[in-house]
Amino acid sequence: MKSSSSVLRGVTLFSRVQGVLVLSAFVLSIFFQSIFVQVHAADCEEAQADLAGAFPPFWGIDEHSTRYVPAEHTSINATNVHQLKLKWAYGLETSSPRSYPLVTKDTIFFGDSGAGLLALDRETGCVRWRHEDSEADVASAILSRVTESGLTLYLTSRREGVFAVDAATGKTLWQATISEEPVPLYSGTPLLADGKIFVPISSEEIGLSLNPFYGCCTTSGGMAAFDATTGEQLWYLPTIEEPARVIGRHFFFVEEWGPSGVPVWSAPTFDAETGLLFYGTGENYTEPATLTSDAIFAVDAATGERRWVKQFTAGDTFNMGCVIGGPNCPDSPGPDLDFGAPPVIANNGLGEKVLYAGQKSGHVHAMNPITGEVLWSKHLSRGGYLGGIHWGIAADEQAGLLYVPISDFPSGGHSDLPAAPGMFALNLLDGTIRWKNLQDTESVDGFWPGLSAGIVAAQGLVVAGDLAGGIAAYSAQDGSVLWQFDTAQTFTTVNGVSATGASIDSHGPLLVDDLLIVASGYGGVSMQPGNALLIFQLVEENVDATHASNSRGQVSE
Amino acid sequence: MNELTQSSVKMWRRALAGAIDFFLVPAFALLLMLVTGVLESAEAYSRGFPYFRVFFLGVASYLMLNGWLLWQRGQTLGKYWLKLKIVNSQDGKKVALWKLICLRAVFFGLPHVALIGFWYLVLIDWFFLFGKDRRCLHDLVAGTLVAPVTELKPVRPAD
Repeated sequence: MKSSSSVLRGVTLFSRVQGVLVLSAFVLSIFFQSIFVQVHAADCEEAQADLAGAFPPFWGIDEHSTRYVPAEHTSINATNVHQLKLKWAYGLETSSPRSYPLVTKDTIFFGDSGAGLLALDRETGCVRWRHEDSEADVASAILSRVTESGLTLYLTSRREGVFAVDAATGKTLWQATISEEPVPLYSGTPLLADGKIFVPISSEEIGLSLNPFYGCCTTSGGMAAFDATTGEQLWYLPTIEEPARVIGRHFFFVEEWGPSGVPVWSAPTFDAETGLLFYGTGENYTEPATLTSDAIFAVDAATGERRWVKQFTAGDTFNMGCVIGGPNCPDSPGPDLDFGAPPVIANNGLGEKVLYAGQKSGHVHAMNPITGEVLWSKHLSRGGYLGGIHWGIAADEQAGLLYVPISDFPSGGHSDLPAAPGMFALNLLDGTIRWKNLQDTESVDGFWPGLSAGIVAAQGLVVAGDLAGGIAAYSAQDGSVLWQFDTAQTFTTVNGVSATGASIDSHGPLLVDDLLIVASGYGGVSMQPGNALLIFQLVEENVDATHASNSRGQVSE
Repeated sequence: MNELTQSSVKMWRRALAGAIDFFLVPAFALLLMLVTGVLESAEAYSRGFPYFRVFFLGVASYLMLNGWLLWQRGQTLGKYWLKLKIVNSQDGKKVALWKLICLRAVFFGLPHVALIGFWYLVLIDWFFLFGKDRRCLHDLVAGTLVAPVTELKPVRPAD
């Protein structure tokens, strides 16, 4: 009995020593993992940037959100676009890049989502600095303004609000949030004008509605204006002005509230001549539906007073609870046909300013910007809650065209029209289709190649990325593909991080000087994640095979 | 029954008792959450995920379900059903309530926390079970031992 007890003690002692060793190794491994798991790009030898010529100043290139890059800002055009060649690739930390670059003489600023804002050397891609204060999901394009102290950058972090950042040092100058809503989401890109920064507001309740024990929903979307110098809030205009009330219960105790929702997901558009700010709204999260959902707002930028509101889809109540069949879904859910793309102001060819808005339903609407009167509407495709028209359209006043990318990602579209992913060019005057280039969905071996991301136009061309990772430049003349590149591949990067391209979504490509910049990979809303920031440059006498024929789709006039 | 065999049986019963508590407390917290509505409003989420509210719901549920049993008999509901009790490791007597709550119960939430991350913390707690007297880290910290209720002196019927 005594000897068996000694053996037992020996075994126990051995177990403890062994255990302590295993435990120590385990704790150490976690410690070292936490140190080395972060990606550290090679720093530039010179951190100081030349901040001259920051471009673009707006999400929409100009304050009218045309997404058209004039010749003084890009040398890329229809005749030389085939000479674009990959210059360098950078491996981002995020797998859902959701930013739009700002480019100066020698620096590219880009939001790396949760890893903060990056300032990359334009030539080599080395890191000048990384903004450490807003390491919380940079969700917007990077805006800029020249102030007394130099260039100031502006961006939004989805949950942390608006940031003003010194472009030379990367230090935060101010940070602002709104106090009117308890769970605001700063998802859309703001707009800078008249010394103010206009910030679109959506709501986290769209996601909270997934929780069956959450009493959905009480909050409203809106638009907020801040002083661009100090960050002081000037005004806030909710999209729903009536307070939410209890409209029902589930699980005996959980109160259901409404009206709610009507988020503003995208950047506003500004007309300096009239002082009006225009923006689109999303659906109501809960019943009763309001007259402000799925609508276009015109607001006095100075005071925040409504001038007019034009609703295009009435009675649209929807939240994420509907996707999982949860109890927070309204009894009669709507189709969720937001305006995810900023409205565009352009000359219609007769010297008249017209406001154009693309909707997730696959409709394009043309309006009188003073009155909101609808001039014409064009239904292009099936649509769905991921578009239809999702992130952005573009206007080319010289060609008299409105470029409309269609995604039609399979997501609840209920219209009579079939899916028609691809690029459409409409006459600015009357909405008739000048040409279209549809993606080939039948022969696609892989992901849906819809055009969901924002697009960009320049002289004689329009550039768009697709959800399968392809990027193409289309001729403004006839829609034929002038250049294309498949980004759905692995890239050797300047920072030594493995980078993979995938779905091109969110803010889309930028043309600036002789560069085309695009982030490939967007893991949000069921798309394919990736982490490649790609910089293409015009290379003369390019003999590379990237000059492609129109193999991506069929052109029809 | 020798010591090793007894310990094996105890571990099995302890695991089952722990599993019962593991599910019962969150279930009661869910009921408490529904009745009080503390996680129902947007305000609860205004500073991100309401970890503190979830924590206090868990503490309240634990105390409401197990407080009286712990105070009177050194048992949680799971241990009550599995006929186990928590005793002082030195003398086998009843443990002060403050030790059961402030020292021992602090570890109760680790398996739940493991579901969202920090899973190694619960492994550290359980790792000490490999010791001779089969005591988890929470037992060592609180100076307690889990013993079968049958070791209590049986009540003799009156002659």
